[in-house]
Amino acid sequence: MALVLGLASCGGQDDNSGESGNPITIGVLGPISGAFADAGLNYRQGAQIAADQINARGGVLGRQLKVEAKDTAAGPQEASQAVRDFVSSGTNFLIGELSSANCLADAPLVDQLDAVFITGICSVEELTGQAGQAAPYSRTFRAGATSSANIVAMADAIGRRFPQVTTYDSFAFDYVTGHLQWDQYVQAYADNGKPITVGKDLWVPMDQQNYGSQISVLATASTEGEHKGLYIGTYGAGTASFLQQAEPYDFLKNYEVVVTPGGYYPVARDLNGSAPLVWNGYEYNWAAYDTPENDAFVADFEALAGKKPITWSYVSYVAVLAYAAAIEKAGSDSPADVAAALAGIAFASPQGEYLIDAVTHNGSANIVLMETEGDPNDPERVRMLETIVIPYTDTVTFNF
Amino acid sequence: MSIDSLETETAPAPARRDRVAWLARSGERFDVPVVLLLAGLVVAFFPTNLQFLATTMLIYGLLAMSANLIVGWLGTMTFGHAAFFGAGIYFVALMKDFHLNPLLLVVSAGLVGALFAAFFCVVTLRLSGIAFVMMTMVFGQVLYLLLFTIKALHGDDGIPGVLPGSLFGFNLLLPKYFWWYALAVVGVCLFVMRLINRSTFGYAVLASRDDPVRAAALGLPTRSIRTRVVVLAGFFAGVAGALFVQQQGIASSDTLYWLNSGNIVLMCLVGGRGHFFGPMVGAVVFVWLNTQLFQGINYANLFIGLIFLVIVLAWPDGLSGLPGKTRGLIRRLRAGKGGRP
Amino acid sequence: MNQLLSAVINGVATGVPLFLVASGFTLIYGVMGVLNFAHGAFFMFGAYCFAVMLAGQALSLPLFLLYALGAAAVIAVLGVLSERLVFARLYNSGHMINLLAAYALMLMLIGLSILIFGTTTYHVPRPSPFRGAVHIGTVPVPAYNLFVIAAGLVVAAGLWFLLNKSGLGMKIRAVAHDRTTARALGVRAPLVGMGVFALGCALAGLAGALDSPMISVAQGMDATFAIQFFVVVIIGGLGSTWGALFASLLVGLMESLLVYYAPAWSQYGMYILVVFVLLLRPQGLFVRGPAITHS
Repeated sequence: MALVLGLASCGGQDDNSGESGNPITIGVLGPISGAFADAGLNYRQGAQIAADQINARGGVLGRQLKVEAKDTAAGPQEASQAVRDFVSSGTNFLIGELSSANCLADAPLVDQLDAVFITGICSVEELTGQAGQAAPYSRTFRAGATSSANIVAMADAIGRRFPQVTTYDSFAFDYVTGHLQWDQYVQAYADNGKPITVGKDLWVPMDQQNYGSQISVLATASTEGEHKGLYIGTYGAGTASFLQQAEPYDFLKNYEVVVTPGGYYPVARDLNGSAPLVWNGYEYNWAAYDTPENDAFVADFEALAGKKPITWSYVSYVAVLAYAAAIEKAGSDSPADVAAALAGIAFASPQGEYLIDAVTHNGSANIVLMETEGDPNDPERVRMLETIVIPYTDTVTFNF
Repeated sequence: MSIDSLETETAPAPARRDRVAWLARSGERFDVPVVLLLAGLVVAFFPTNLQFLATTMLIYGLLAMSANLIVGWLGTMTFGHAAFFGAGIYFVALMKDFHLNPLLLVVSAGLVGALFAAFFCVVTLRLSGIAFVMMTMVFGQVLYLLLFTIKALHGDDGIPGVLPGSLFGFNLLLPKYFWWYALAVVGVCLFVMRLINRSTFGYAVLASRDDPVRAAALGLPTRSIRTRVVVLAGFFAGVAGALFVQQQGIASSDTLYWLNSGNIVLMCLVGGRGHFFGPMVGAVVFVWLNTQLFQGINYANLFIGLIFLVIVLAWPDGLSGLPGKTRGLIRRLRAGKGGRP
Repeated sequence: MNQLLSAVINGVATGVPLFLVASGFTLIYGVMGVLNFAHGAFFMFGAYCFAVMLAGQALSLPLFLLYALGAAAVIAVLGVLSERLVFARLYNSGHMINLLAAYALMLMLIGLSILIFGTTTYHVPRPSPFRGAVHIGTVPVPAYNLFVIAAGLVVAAGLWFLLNKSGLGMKIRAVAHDRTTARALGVRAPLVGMGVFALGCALAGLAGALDSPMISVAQGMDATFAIQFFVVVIIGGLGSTWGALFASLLVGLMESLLVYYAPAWSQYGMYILVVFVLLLRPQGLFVRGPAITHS
């Protein structure tokens, strides 16, 4: 009984936004604990940089921006409770999330609860409109790239850079997105009229880190045939373990190109200088844009975090910029007005002008292809060898 | 039946004693509806996010109570209980496009859970002790892996878009209505558990837990008792699963992971497996600790672990043993002062 | 033929690190009757300590071993603290209470590791002599894997010697068999208990240190091994060191062979093995008599 009363007292009032002078809170949903705590940390830091910069310029509608975070590492159940808790305490502008399951749980809820959600990392297509179709959720927006856009842009660029590579081996996590992405990668080459043959495709379970057997197979396969490429479809600790276990075999050099989609840069950083030469396609790296906005973002981020910003930091930064622009445009902080303003909004960002499509709710995210190699003497422990920006307008012409 | 009934009561005058006894018996028989009704009324005044939280606690409470049939009544651990929970969850999720009556789904999910439990019992008929416990873990993990192998179950993406529907005209999407719906379902389940607990069968279960040799010698069919209890546990876990997915709207694979099964056992132990409401208390505490109290601290596990450690060292019978222990403590203090206890 | 040889070698290379982790777990259970749920967390802590000590440098072999033993020692101290503060009080409380305590301990260790080591991933380089691969026939095998296999066998031999040929081992076995009588005969059971816990946790820490160049030292690594070593001690028989070694090799080989010949089944291999063992010989392959149930 005491417990129940205790809960009641810490309930918090329902929605008290609308008072001018009060700060506007942006709620960050993401992993604070667990294996992806680093992602959540970057989300918070990126959002905080945006809030600080905007507040220094006078805030939004004369009000300061505040960033609060809740942990959603435990899964969709924790995520939906976090969304409800945020909304109940008056925070209706939400960003973040990492896993598809969490995003799929949050999107309908945000519609129901009169809130707004901008995600940059959840790659699942069904969150926003695809191929010009209307967005399925009126309050969910994507300030980031879809998984397909990422993969297809990568395939296109790599295919052009390495036209002689026509056979690929793959090593990937055995999960829905893993299979989807690999199939899309292969399909993209076929669609471009330069089909690739699949050599060996190896699938590993996600919650396991011992890849010795698979790596042995791959080491042998890498010597079979000529002009081969390797596609690595793991992420995070999985990729790190793969590279660490592959190191003694020294077989990566048998491949003309090693590609991996997604958040690879932090993994390369953590390998402390021993990362191999890898081509990675994702939404951002600090060297991609030579604009004053990007310089300011990178400098401020390094001052806060001690490291350069990565995609996780960038998409959160952009999401907060989007909210600030939308609230200004709407002239109010009512979620309905802000959502209406977000549809079709344009605002300044490190990549230039950023647009969110009014119909599909997709943001004009570029894809950044980067060639990196570990370097123990670099302050980041990774040398950025080359960066290719594939503008959003190019990605929309791809067929998916 | 529960441990607190072992305490001796002082004896008031005969007529008063009869009335008191009658009240006590009725109280015990109807404690489930009374407690839940009280809880229901209190929560009805909460803001919606706390109603949602309370509903989650209630559903986990039912799940923990169902696991307690194995942990408390049978006295054996299980690391695969999330499998029956998951069976209920995924069954209802797969039925989402048929727009069936929510109560019908709940009952069917319970039957699915019971079916899985029955299958499990057939496989493990000759096992006991650590071997049995290990098999529960294997069973749970194999079902978890199947979520990824069977493409129709969508692995880690899960199955989203599960709508609870409406009942008697009330839209169950709204937490305030869903709360009463869940309360009613859980209430019926707990009431049934109470009845079984106090029936001859219930006594037989306890007897075979407390002294399996003597029970077998007395002719109690210990194997069939275990089977029936596990099947019942599977049924209630399936019901909990149905409620869970109806509330959350998405079936996700992490609910079947073996660590989740471990958490369920923990709820029983923290709350007290020897007390009827123990697991419910454990579930409330557990959910609150994990999702509310230390929300936002990345090393929260340090404090949660510490709290559990204190509980296990100070109150190994679980939190619901607290009232009994406090009464005992007060009695000892009074006796120590020279008065009659 | 090459494939088969490669699969076998990889199986052994996978199995021995698993044995290192499992050996401590089975020792603690065999002697103390405690299912140390927190064992994976001790393993993780050992890996973290080792990673921090190395600070990203590739060391010479003697230094590498020294630091690894250092990490093991730190974990041994942690183990002793846990035993004194927690398990010593719960010795007579039964399996379930001990399980709850071990789980609570695991949570505390995980939280502590985030507090001390942060959320980044640590990279541990292999020691300088073992950075490449050697060839057994035409099959390339990472030299470090062979080193770990050797280390594992040394540990196994050392444990066997300790438990079966030394005076301390005799006391340990006496306490495992019948604590009360052992005490009556003058064996200082509490000290033995503490020592066994220290040794078991030291083994976990050592395993973490030796394994760290091959896996990501990051949050969540405790859970990846946990189910595997549970399975291993069940198959091998709770309390049996040779059983743990044999079962680890079996699990490693099974998985390795499946990856080569039937990849879709590779995750299920471990469970198939367990089911077979549980249905045919539930006490485990290396344990005589009915399943041990400590009272």
